[in-house]
Amino acid sequence: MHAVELKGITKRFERVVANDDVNVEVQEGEIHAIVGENGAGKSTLMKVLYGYYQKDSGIIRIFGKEIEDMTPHKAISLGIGMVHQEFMLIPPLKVVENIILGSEPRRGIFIDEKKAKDEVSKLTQQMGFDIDLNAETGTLPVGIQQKIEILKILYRGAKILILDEPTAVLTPQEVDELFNILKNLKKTGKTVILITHKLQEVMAVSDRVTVMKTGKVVGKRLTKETSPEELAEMMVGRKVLLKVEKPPRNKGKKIVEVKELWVKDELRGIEVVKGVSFDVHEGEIVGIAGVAGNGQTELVEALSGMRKVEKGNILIDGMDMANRTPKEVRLSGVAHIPEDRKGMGLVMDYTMAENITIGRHDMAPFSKGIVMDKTYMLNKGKELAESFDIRPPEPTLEVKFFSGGNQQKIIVAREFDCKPKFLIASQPTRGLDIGAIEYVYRYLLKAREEGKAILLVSMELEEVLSLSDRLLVMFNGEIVGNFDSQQGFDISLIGNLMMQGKVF
Amino acid sequence: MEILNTTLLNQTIVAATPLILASLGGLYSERTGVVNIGLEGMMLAGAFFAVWGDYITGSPWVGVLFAVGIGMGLGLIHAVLTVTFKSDHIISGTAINIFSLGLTGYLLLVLFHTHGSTREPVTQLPYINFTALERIPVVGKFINEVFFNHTPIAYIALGLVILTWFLIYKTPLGLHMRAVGEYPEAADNMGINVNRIKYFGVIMSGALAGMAGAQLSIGVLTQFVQGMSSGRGFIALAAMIFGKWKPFGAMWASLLFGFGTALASNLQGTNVAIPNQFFLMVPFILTMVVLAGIVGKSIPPAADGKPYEKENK
Amino acid sequence: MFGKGRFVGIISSIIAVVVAILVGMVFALISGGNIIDTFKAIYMGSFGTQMGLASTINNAVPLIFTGLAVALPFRAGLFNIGGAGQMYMGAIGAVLIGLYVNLPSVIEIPLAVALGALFGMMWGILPGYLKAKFGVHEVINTIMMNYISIYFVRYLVSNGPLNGVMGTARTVVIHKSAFFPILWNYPIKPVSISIVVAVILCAFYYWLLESTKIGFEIKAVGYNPKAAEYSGISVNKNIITAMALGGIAAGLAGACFTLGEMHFVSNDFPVEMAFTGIAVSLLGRNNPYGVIPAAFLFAALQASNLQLQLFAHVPKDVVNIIQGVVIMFVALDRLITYLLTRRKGGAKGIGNT
Repeated sequence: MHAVELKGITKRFERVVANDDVNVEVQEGEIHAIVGENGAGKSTLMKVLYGYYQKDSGIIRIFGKEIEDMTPHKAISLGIGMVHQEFMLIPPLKVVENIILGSEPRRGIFIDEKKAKDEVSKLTQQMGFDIDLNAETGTLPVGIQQKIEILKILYRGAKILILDEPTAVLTPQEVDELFNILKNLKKTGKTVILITHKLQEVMAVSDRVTVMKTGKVVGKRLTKETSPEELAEMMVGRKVLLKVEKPPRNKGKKIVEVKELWVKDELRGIEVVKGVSFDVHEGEIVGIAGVAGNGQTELVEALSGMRKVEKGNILIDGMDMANRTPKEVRLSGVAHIPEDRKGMGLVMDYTMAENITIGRHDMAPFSKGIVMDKTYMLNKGKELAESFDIRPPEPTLEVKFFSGGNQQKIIVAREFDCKPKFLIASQPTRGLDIGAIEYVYRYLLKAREEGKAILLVSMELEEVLSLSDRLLVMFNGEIVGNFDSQQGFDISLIGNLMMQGKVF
Repeated sequence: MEILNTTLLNQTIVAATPLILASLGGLYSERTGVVNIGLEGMMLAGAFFAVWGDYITGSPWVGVLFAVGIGMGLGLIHAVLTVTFKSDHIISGTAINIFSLGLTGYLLLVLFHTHGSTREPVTQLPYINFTALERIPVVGKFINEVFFNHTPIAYIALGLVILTWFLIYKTPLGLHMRAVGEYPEAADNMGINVNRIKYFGVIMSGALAGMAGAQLSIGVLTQFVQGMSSGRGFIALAAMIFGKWKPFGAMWASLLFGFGTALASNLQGTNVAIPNQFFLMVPFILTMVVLAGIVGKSIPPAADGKPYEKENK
Repeated sequence: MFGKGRFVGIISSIIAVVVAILVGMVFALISGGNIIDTFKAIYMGSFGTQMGLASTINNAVPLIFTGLAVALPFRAGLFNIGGAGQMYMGAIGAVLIGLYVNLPSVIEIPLAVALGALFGMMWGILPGYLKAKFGVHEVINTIMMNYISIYFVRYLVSNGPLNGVMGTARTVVIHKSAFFPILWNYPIKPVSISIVVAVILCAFYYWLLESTKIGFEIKAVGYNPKAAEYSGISVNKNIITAMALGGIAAGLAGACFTLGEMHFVSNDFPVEMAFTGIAVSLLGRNNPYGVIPAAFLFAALQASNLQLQLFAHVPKDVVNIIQGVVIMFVALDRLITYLLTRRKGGAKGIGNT
């Protein structure tokens, strides 16, 4: 019997179809991996299964029984448990309190603490965990916290466990330990669904694989009958390539030199960029390929002055800009199209003209003394709206009223207009439609022709492949591959490096 | 020292009682993630309704019930605004404070046909006395004079501190409250109804602030005086913060602040060099110092004051 | 630069006022008033008579200032509930000059106003600094500082150095040279130049917000601190700037009230004006010009207190009820905005690519 059967699941968010007619069958007692690139719709699918999101159409069957209107509450009672990518643990609570939360054993009106502790410690013994149940959860290492999440699910008598990217935050040792736990769970008859984009994990632990891409299922395999290469190809796929006409490169002098850069994630307290070095010359696009969460975001933030650098140098035209303020970095000739368009790139309540001004608002000709030159701002807005085809060309309209593509054009217009020496483009086409994507490509190539140094960071492999003159692969905070377009890009090699950091 | 006598200690408890109740009220609300600066207004409305209930029935206990009732009513308004409609907690609390000021003044005229304060005294809450205790040598008199001679509300307040401690730390409901105040997404994921818990916290908050008001009007006095909460709601908020969002912490802070008040009023007319107003400032200065983390950091529940909405892409 | 968002804001302000007045009417009716008498009383008490007009103007002055004291910080995403304390300190600053300095008016008055503004500013900067440096919520600290200043001023004027007459809690009257010139010498309620100062400050703050890079940065921080930081704007610096501007406005409220109307500082300084300032600011959409009509609305209601009670038999406290309901409905902003924009079929996504 199928433990989980999803038939024709479709889930839309406003204009994005996150899951498009998805069919997945999970056998009882197996470890089933669901793989795909970021944004392939894996997490959404699991949240639909868990009842956190409501599906738009389709059927969910649990142990053969069709379930209408799934809610987390219902899911729990049906024996489904989920370990989210972001832990759902309450830091100041004791371990035992986190485990029993929502299903507390009671004695009268009180929590039966003794019973709770007995039940939980029985469970930890069964699993062979060594955890102090009275410790404050937030003080424990992430590896332990993940075990607590698993205990939380088992405590509720889960028969089906969903783990969403469980290894993202773990050390290699902890990953091995987790896999042993999953295999043990399988032995006791539990069904495990593993969401991941790391292929070596799929090969190491799963029985069957479902591959997703852009919201659809593109393949199903028995793990023993497939290879990482085949899976990588399915995941990355052969998308219709936007044909990019790229004139020959006109490489100039070295503008950017990053030397042995180390960056730490302060929240998690771990190194996320580990000794990265590279350079970018005038008139070339250097692409960074990699699966999300391998340190690209932090690298870009460090380059733009938004994040502290632990060690290393960022030389812009020979000047070390590591640990300078965003403002100083900008003044040194760096422009940046940030990946978080709405959160970082734009002030949504400001007008187009104001957003084109921000960052330069305290400089002539945008302001004289403390007074801002609104006429100049408006004219600039009109000028850029025309040259960058921003629609509608109304500089006094707040950017929240523009479409996503036009919002991105506003950012592109502003950053290009800064006349930078070095342009960082981080996920510049995320969430855009084909027309807007084509447009962004055109401008990146134009900047290249104008002799700017460009760093392009993208999760879209096709994008980096077609635009880059040189391509770096980032994996687990390190640069694991360095390719030049003149030698041609070996896609399967790059894919393998992206997924596994090494070549099998 | 002459000033440290049983009267002073007795007055400390008198001054602390409404603070204990209201700071517990603040705690119920903030533990579930709703900031309640409307405590002041809820207390004021409680003070008025206590007098009214007392006046129409002749029973101070009915007065207390009225006070709790109006507190809950205002709590409900705060909950509807902040939890259901996700309004700004501060704006909503401010609205309740101003609204209560208007409502009590208005009702004073409509129901009692007077201004400023009610004229006719209403029945006061009883004072509990154990003169028998005074027969115990040495300490007997002291105990009676300090710990007795209070209204039952003083003991109810103490009882509620203990009860709240048990509720917060020992019952499923309390665990759910802490979870909701810290990380509502996680609580939601474990099948807990986040909004229901928040409503409970905010309405309880109003009930306790209302009772605190009753203690002011029919416990200490026998009348309602306009604006008689005179900032105690805010002091209670400070006591809750100073007490680090914990029931006993809030109680000790309230007692400390109450001691300051009692000391200040006892110092009036004496030749002590420090002006009494400086004692009255102490709670506020202490709270600022503690919040800045200069003396032991006081950390609010992580999701305090933030509306809870499911993520929506 | 005007955007389309402001239109919805004005509509929901009007809705808030209308609903609040309806609620006020219900309370007026319950207490035995009738609608015609009530409106008549409000009109006569506020604009319909010279006396009414004079008191409306005098009431509006501190409300404009305290409204600005909330509005400016609000634009940076801060809630300044500390208007009361800042106003109190402003009064002290002004009274110090008025009591101890005796110079020609042209020098003394600006000096007194400036010291009042400075005191208010310092009282506003401290919670701003604590927010920037330690991340302490400004609401708590401004509330705490209100009480600190209330007790401090109480000390100064009752048993402290500024006490004027033994046994009272007030200073003596300031020098005549520090009195604000009178603009309209209505017998009981002379209108001083305070109203001019207030309107000038509105214009100045509006200019600051809309035309200078200082305002540009403040608003950017208020709308999206992360984007502001990213584009090189210091969030912390702007938190302090906005609180300083708020403090100046509140300080001027105290200074102008002292120099223009009271001419001394006492124990029962009307601090509740600062709380009405919150309603004024919210109703005026935190816009320096919006504050003016909002302040006049509440000033008029307050001015008609006496008439309401005498001729319409409506308790003056209905005014406070109306204020409370106005704030509640402004708090329901999102709901109202949602209802308004939904009707119009959503203003989203103009100009799809």
